[in-house]
Amino acid sequence: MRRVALRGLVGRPLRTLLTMLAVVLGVAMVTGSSVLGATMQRAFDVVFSSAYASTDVVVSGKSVVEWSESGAPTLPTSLLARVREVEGVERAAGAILDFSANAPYAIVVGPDGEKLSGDPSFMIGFEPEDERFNPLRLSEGRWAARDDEVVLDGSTAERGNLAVGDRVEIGALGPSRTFEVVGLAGFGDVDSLGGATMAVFDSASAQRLLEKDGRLDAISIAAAPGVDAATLVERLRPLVPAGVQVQTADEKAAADKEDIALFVDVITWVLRGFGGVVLFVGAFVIVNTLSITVAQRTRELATLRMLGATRSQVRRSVALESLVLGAVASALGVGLGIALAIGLKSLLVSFGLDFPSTALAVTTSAIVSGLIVGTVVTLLAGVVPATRATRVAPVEAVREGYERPRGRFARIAPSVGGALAVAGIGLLALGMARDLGVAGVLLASLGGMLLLFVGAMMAVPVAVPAIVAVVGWPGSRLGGVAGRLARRNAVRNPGRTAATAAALMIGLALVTAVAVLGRSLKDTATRAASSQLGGTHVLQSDSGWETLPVGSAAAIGDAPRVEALAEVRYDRGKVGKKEVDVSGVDTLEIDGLYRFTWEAGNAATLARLGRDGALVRDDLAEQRDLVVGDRFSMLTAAGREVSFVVRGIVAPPRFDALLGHVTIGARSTRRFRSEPTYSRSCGSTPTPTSRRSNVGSRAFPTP
Amino acid sequence: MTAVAAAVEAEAIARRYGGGGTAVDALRGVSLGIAPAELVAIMGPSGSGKSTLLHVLAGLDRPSSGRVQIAGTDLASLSDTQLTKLRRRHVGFVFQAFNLLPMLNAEENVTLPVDLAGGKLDRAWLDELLRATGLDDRRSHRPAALSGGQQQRVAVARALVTRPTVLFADEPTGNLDSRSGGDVLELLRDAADCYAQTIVMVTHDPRAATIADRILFLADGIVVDELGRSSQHEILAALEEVSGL
Repeated sequence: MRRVALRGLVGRPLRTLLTMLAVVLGVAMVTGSSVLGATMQRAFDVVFSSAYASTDVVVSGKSVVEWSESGAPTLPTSLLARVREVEGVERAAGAILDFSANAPYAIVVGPDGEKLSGDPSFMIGFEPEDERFNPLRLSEGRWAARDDEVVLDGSTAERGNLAVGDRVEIGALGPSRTFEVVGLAGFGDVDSLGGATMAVFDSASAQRLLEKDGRLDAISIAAAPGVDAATLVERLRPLVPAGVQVQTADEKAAADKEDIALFVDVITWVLRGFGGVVLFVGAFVIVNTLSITVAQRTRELATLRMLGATRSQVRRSVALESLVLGAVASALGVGLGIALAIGLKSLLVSFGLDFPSTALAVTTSAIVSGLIVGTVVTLLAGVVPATRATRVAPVEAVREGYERPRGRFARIAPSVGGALAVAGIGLLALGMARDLGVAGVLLASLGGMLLLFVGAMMAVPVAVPAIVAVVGWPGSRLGGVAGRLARRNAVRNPGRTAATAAALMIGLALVTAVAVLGRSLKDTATRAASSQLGGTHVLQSDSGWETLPVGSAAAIGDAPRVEALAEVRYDRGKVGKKEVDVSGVDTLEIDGLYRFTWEAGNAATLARLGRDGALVRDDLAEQRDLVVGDRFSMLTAAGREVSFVVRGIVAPPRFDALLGHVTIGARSTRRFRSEPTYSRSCGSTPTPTSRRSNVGSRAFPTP
Repeated sequence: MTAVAAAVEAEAIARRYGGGGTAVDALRGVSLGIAPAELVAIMGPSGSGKSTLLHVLAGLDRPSSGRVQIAGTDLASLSDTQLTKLRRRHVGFVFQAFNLLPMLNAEENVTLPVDLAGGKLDRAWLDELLRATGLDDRRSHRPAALSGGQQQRVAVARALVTRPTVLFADEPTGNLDSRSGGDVLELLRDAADCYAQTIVMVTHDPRAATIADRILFLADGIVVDELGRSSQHEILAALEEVSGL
């Protein structure tokens, strides 16, 4: 029996290959994405380890929340001198270097006014003589030594066709200034890290640009010969203030890598998702092809039954076929996936997402998971045709046109399918109607779609005669005898017709789903924005990540036809265990430009926010059990505890909320600064928008 | 009927297809017994019910009423799996269209019933069969590389390999020219003589029926005539008489 199954596959090579194609492609996507991900991960491992090759210990501020605007707390420059005195420290250098912060971004503008900086865009400050600690390697020119000099990473320079000696405009917190490019640098052996921009200044310039005068992001330390990094960490730890961490270079490299390599995960999962869809469609193709094979081999299978094959032997033979198909297809798919990873890698590089060149990381887990996923999917897909094969009656070996009694399942399939489809629609509706959170909505939509597909597959055969009658009408009218035959043939075995159409159905459904999803996301965003927005415009950077430079709000406010505008500042903090978005608003101007949905309080509350008043979003209020008048404390990114009093509770739309969980007065945002570097009082500034204590900013001008 | 227990026994079997006004009675009460080592031919004009009779006797179709026994077992009481097991032990089948599996060579086709049953192959018996069927030098040929006559001889060897209680042959010469057909008939006759193989053969070819020990004539679903060993001429005459009824 085994021989019959296997020889059968080999005897129909073309069909076998075509059947496998869908699985091959799906597995290739899954494996390719894993290999690509692993390759990128390994590349970053290499780069970050080599970046800290001459460093043994790193002292740096520790951020309490992720993606904060204000970044990790900084260290006082004075700490550097004390570090240098510790026994076993051979050399120590201060640096402005924070890969974990969301801001401030350096905006680099080329000579022809084109923005060159990528996303993210880091500003780094290092003294030329501390080159050994600098994670970047100079590839051309020299390090910046004066306050009008900069070194750029190779890929940013390439984007703007820049060479050493060219001039660029760079802005961060303050108005942009002109710098001369004195050198080009790379990260490890590549020009850039996944498209990120790096602008390296001398320490003093970087401190000034980032308003970190007298402060440092990190201190890099080289241990004296014979001194162990771990020992040095122990000696340094008592020296540093709270919120500051001392790590060995290896630990620091791993932490940095995590911050930067996030996009690796995104790419990997997107590709894996595509692979999953291809496999899902592939499963239907396999169900269909194997079913057709079974139908065509009816006489062969019936003969086997006559010669003494039991039903389970027949079932096993078809299952074995799908197992072998799956295993071979998966093996081919894994091979193709590795090739695909190579192709994708060069594709990413050509998009400017450069990452270090290392050998392809073909991990065992990528291979094994590809093999298992492909084989299991194919095997599952083989269940339907295998069951169908067992219904072949021995008498079909001798009698043509024998009408098989319909199986129990075939009789109830349309009803079961209908029920599944209804359940699927219900689940989809639930996902849309109720607020289940992102994971819940995704699960409900995916589950609903799966049920709907399978249900439709089972139920549609009932409708096939009716559908064919309508769709086939022109064919049977215009196609003559051939047309009529085609129409009758389509009705003869409705299940087969439905299954054949299924692959196309899924393809079209996916295309439609993506289009509808895109459209509805856009609509939701538009609706969310217009329901919140009282003004006419929201101004933000095109990436949405970069913050607006200081002075932009003031400049816009001065423009003609701008009636009113309110600046909004952003940062992140932590309330209890929950990381929250904090917005700082211009309390005098915001009402009207932004439409508050008050649950407690009213427009007058805004004026009374003062230094420690806050508006809390309804979900946070519920979660923390907060009512008006309650005082709650929040940790800033730098780890400082600040407290606020609830003055109002608001209920904005969940999706694309313009304001965060906590809304405070713009002036209070300075309480989020890593260190109080402002001596100027806010009240005396002509407009509250002229300086940002916090870096994120959106403005709502009204022409 | 002989005193020895019958290999196959049918008692008043009827088979009705469909229902209501369009019902067709293919068999209307057939009783017969096939003795061990007997070679019986079943003949009759088209639509006489001879194919249906063969299917019912071989357990491929269930009678609407009546009883069929093979080797003393009542087929009506058996489940699908039990029927498969009975087929393995007691039934061989030769098809009009040979029904060889194209991906297996001649020898693999012959041994397939043993493989399916998970039994142990009697090598000497296989060699004997292949020698007797003249396929010794064709063992590793695929069916596609064999002539029609050779293919049917492979099929006969396949039907004999398990030494079944009864071998059913459905128009075994229907797809063959007269020379190859003659070879196959000779083989069946030899099987009955040398191996005491019980054979039930449905045929419309009077020449094929000449090898039978007994010939049953069917018309309109009942047995209307019976001949002993007869010449082609006698058979033709009987057939004409039956058809004219």
